[in-house]
This record gives sequence, structure tokens and C-alpha cells, in this order.
Amino acid sequence: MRIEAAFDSLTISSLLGRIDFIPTRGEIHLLAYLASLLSVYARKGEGASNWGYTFVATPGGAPFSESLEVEIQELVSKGAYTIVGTSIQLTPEGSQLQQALSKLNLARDRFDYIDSASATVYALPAGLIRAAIARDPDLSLVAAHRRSRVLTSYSAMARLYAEFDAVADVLGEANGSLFAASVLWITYLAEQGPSISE
Amino acid sequence: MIDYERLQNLAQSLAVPTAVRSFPDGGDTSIRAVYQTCRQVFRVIDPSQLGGPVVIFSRVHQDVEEQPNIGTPVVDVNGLTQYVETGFTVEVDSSTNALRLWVREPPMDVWELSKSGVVFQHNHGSERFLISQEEVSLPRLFAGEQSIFSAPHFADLADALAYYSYPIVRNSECPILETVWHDKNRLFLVEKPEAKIQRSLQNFLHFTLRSDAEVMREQNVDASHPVDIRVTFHFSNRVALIEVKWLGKSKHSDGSQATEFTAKRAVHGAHQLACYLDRFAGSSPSAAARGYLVVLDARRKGLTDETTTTNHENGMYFAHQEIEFEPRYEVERNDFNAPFRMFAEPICS
Repeated sequence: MRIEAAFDSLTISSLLGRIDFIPTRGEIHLLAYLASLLSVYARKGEGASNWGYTFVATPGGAPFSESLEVEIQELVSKGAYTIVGTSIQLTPEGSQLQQALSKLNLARDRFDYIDSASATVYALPAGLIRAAIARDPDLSLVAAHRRSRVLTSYSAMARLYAEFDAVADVLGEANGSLFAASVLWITYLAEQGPSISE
Repeated sequence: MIDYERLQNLAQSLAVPTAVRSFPDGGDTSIRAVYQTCRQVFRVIDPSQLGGPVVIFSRVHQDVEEQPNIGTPVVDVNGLTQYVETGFTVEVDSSTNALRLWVREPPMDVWELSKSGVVFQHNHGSERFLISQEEVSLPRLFAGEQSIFSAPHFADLADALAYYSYPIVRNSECPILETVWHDKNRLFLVEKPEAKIQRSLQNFLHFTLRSDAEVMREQNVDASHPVDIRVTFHFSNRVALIEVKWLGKSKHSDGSQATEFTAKRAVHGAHQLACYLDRFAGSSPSAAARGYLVVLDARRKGLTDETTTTNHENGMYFAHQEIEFEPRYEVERNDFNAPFRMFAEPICS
């Protein structure tokens, strides 16, 4: 079991459960990726390489993690998730596992990022978050070239740092709020011109 | 290159940064609690049925004079449906997420209430936050949407297309579709409106389809044939090919007629889509493709180049006239969805 991936997936499902939102697998990948970027925002100067697992971008500009996907499938087979149409729903066993994993040190390190990424769905529609994320510096590069590649590459990090510096700057005293940073950055990206696929 | 000024304006105008800035010691938690409660409430309440305002608030400070009326505990959000006609107010405790209810009016003036926390107000389709006596309006994704918290999202493409047909296309309730008309009464389309119609549909699907769907325009089905929109569903081998056609008359910018497309155009589109599906099956045999024909129908009866207005009889003449497709691919093959004819209403005098 890759503990980080299991914790992230179960915690995203648990937090979204508060608004009766049953995520699809793609939405779990999306929010875990957003959480990893929020960790970059909070720990400027560090890449997302210490997130615990990596993401690639699909040719259309969606984030995908092989480790996360393997873990989700394992959680389904263990009964922590049940499949509901195209979504995966946390079972009581899954909730218990999430609570057990929450007590680990690694959970304390990453909970705020997962929490703020998930809370972004409270404020903005998931489709808008997906469309916005497709315009992030790394994913838009991939979509432009129509091929998969590993995300949070050095080539895109400089632009990402510049965007996050600007986000922190305009937030001023509120820049310690990951939720505010996430909503502001996603809204900004969503408003930027036509999608790369247009 | 980041647009710093735009980012700065957003930071000033969005509710979350405003709440955190106004209440550094608890604004983040309070606005999360309010957002969470809004999602819960509008999941069970249809905003179009509301007969009165809905107020949802969370106090950061308890320094405002306590009211003798402390409201009633809410055990189950579903119970709020009984107050749809009157409207209601809910306070959420940001530390416990416990809810308290006041039927109709809030315990005090909402403007006053916002001095001590985050207040959300929905009133006849208009939504705003009041935060420390600052007003923050909430954006709409689509013109006809009653609440941002009830914005549609779909797992099924056919459901999304049905919603796009009505009310979005029917009433041109989309900023892009508003620009496909040559005249204010929506009689003639602009010259070559295809790209705008495709972009409107792509954006709609982008925002409303659940996140496992990837929506792309003008994708080749084989080495040389592009379909208007392709939707790829991750985590499965499902692919949707969408061909978009329009019917009606278009005009050049100088007012002269550009093109007229009749029902034959839709029939041709169905044939074209069937060919694309065949080619796609040849080039991507492992994918399970399904075809969707979308026909934006802007036909009006009795339209001449000089027409500037229409009455209900002529304007709505084609509203319920279905197109006879021959062959009926949706019957003959199992990879072809029944066509979506989407009638776009004119403004009738």
C-alpha cells in the first residue's frame, strides 16, 4: 500500500461526502494534483517531488497518477470503496480506514493541502476546476503538444512559482489561507481566455 | 505571463479572500462552513421553487448582542424543504457544523449580521455574500441558472445534451450563443456560426460533465477526417463523437444573406457521423465509440432578407417539427444515439 495515495484518496472522498458529493476517479486524481500544487504554494522553493507520488498529464490536459490509480483499485477490491455508476463511494470500512490513516504523522503533513483542495469543490463547480487546472503552466504545455508526460517538471515550475508568488502577493495578509489561494488561482485560470483545446 | 491587475481585482472581489482578509482569526473556517451548508441546502432545495429569501450565515465573533430568539436546531437538512414557500435562515457553527433555523427572517438585519461573520443570501435568483459589511456577488456559469450551488453536472453525456438543448439553446442562455445571432430578435444567424456553436457546446460540456470526461474540439477520427467534438471518458474505453449542424438562415455582416440550411443538412450530418464512426472503429478498434448528432435549429417560417420581426406562429413554426431522418441510424446501428434537434427560439413580437 502506498500510504500517501491511500490517505489522499480516502480523505478527499470523506471531505466531499460532507456535501454528498461522490467523486469520480478522475476527480480524485484532479484534487490530489491540486493538493500537491498547494503544497508547492505553501513551501515555495520546493518542487512537488516530495509529494509521495508523481502525476502525468493525459494528452487532453488532465492530471493522472499511476500510484493513486493502483491504490484506488486496491481500495475498491478491499471494500473501502463501492462503485456507483462512474463514481466511487466511501464505505463504512473505507471511513474507518481513513480515520486510522489520519492518525499517522504523514497525514498531519498533508491534511491541510487535501482539505483545501477538496474545499475548493464547495466553492467552485468540479468541471470549472478541471477546466482551470488544464490551463495550469504544466498541463497546458502537455495539452499543446498532445502527448503524456510527467508533471511538475522543472520547465514549468518557474512559471508556477511566479504565479504563486503573485497569488500570495495579492492576497496580502490572507496569503496563509490555502483555501483562499486555491479559489483565487483556480478562478484566475478559469477566466483566462479560451481553453487550449479550442 | 500572469495578469497581475486581473489577479488583484479577483482577490478583492471573491468571497473567500474577502472573508479571510476581513476576519483573519476565523474567516477561512466560517466561509468554508457557509459554502458547505449552501451545497447541502441547495442539494435538497430547488431554488426555482423558493417563495422567499434564504440566508445562511456563520459568525466568527459572538460580539454582536445575543438575540433572545436563538432558532431551532436542524437535525436533517432534508427537513428544510417544508420552508420552501416562506424562505428561511440557517446559522452554521463553524467548529461543529451544527445548524440552527429561523423560519422566514434572520434573527437580525443581514447587513448588521455581516459585521460578525459571513452571510450568504439567495433572493429570487440573486445571490450574494455579505462579509464585514462588504457585498460580494456570486457569478453565474449560465444565464438561466438559479443558483451557483445548483449548477448542473452530469455523468451521462445524453443527459448533458438534453439540458444543453433546454434551456440553454432554447433561450440562447449562454454568453457564446448570444453572439451567434445577426439581429436582436434572433431571426438570422451570423455568417459561419459553426465555430461559435461548437465552442459553446464544448464549454458547456467542459463545465458540466464530471471530471472523468475530456472534451476536445475538431479531433481527427482517422488520418484526415475531423469530428466537431470528441469526448473521451478516462478509466473506460468509451469515446463520444459529436457532430454539430445548424439549420436556418445566416447573414453577412452587411445584412445580405449568406447561407440557408434546411432539414437536409441535418440528414447529411447524420450520414457524415455514421461514416466517422466507421472510420473511427477502423483506426481505434479497442475504443467503444458512440455518435451524437447535435442540430441547432434556427429555422423560422416566412423569413425574407428584409424581415426584422416575427410573430409567434411563424417564429415557433419549427419548434415541434421533428426532422425525418432516413436512414434512422439510431435504429440500424447500436453506436448511434438518437439525434438531438435543439430549437433556438426567436424573440416574437
